[in-house]
Amino acid sequence: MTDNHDEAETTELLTFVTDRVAPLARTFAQLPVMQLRVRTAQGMITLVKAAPGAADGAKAPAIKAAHAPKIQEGEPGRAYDTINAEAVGVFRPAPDIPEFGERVAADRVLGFVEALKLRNPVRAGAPCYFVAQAVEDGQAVEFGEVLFVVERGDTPPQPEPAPLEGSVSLEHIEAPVDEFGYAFEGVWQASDHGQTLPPAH
Amino acid sequence: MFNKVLIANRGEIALRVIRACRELECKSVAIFSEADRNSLHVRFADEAFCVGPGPSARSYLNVPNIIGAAEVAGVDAIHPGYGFLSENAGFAEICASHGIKFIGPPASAIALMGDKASAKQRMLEAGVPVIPGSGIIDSLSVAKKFCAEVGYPVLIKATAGGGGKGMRIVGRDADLAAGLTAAGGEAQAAFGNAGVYIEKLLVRPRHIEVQVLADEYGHVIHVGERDCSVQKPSHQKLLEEAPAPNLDADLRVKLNEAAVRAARACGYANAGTLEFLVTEDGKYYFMEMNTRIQVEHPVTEVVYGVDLVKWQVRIAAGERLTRRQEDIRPRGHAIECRINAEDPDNKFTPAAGKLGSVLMPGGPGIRVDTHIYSGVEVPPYYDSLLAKITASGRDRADAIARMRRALFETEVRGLATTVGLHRRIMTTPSFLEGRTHVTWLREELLLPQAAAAGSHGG
Repeated sequence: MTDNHDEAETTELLTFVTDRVAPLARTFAQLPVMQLRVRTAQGMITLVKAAPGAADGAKAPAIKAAHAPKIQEGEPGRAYDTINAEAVGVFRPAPDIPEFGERVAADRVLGFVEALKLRNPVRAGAPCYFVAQAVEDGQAVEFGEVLFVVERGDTPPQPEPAPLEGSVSLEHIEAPVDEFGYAFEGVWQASDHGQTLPPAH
Repeated sequence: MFNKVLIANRGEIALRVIRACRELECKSVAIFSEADRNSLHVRFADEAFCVGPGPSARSYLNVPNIIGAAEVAGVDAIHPGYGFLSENAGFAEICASHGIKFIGPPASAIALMGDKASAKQRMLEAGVPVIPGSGIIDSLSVAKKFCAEVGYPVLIKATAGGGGKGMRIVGRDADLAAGLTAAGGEAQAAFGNAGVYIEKLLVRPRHIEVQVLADEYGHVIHVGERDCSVQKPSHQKLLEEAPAPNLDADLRVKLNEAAVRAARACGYANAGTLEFLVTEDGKYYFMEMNTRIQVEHPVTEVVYGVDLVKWQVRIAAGERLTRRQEDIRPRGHAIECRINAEDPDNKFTPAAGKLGSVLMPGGPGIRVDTHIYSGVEVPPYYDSLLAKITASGRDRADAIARMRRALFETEVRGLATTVGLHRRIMTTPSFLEGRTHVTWLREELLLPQAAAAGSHGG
């Protein structure tokens, strides 16, 4: 992150927010995770759900929650499955990334984790419906990081899920760097709780 | 100096390396398994990457993911710590092929000293005594001749051996033929190879090792010796001290010089340790070389005032070793107690689970190297070492007094530990007199205690 953020960068950020963050935030509202991090060249954004016990959850890294089993009870909205990184490296989505709700075969390659000059394919692993890509092209990922959100059940995901309790809406956005020059970390909070959470570390 | 170093390890040694890096103003990158997410090395490093699930084979030994993390983080070097990949010549080569400096000796030295036969051969060539051994025994007369030369007792070993199979101790000439037949038959059954050889068996030897430090320009020094004779029955070390007590001055010089000669003979660079067995009659034999930093390095650091881990990093970064041999002198005495999560009353069975309250000692002359804290989970997948308490003083008695006081202060609740056993060692007369050997702990403390428990009907 550079210190001289100018108009171009601000525009870039806005594009980033409208193109990438908004769809991701909608997906995130239905994810079985309490927190999701997205890092790009423009900055890092942490999505945090404000729900009972969320203040504790906000401190835990996103991947920890992502490894929790599929949650069927006590989770507002639908619980989806995730495909997590096995390799540590740089994420690349497949050129033919599926559409939302598309039926995907088990051996379908959804993306790659590049490391040691190798492209490690990330496969669906089992037949599923595609929901979303959770990380950006070019982002460094560690073991266990959520790469894709899918539905392994029989019911395809609904294209426009009804607003749910605890759903996420955009509350505020900060500049890529704050007045001290620190890297930007925006926090989205659920509007219906209004609880102030610290940005995740 | 490096800009960024990845530490391919966990636990207290990962913390030790991270501390050295921070003091050298070099950034540190931790790797961790899912079981170690709340570990202190993850918290104290500048960056951290999860590289796999709990079992070591899929995390701390997962070379592709470790190198992947190194590439993503953009590190210049990898410090392997001890255990895991530290003595893996192949890993050192992979690092080099990715333009990452391996903080340790050249891969060639790791490979040479990692192979028992080639290490022994090179030591013989360098004039370092090794435990006398015969070639493959093809007749009783050859065996008798060898045993007459080295003296009884001897140990018959299978050439294809391992795990104690095909091994026999023979104490006198009359039993030699029967021993050879039995060992050969057992070896044939176990390994499909009846070949056996004979080694001189050392009775109650001391384990004394010498620390060496070498830069990449041929400057080699020793940093004194450590006595690691207090060992579990499995020969794992439990307590180490520096300098070795009651060691003849001439013998000390011989050991130290042999270690430097050995390091030169294998083209060594960085920190390493030559392990010797020393017998009561003042003979010493090369056992093996550890081509890495060792668990017990703090006693040497404290007594000699040499920061071994920082030197590892500095030497790997191409710096010259500026310490001269004549500057290396012991100041006082230091003892290290290994606090392990294991039950000494139950064959040192490792314990895992959530720790209760943890209180570590402090005050004058105490150094604690640990990664644990109250309430942390001890995973079942790794080495059971929880903490190393090092006590130092003007002399050995002073160090022992401090260690007793430190162990009094130490509290580790929730799991069985070796704290109580160390308290007993600190009051055992033969330890206080410095008369330990590799089977001392078993003979002096464990067997008498087991016998006492048995006589009480337990």
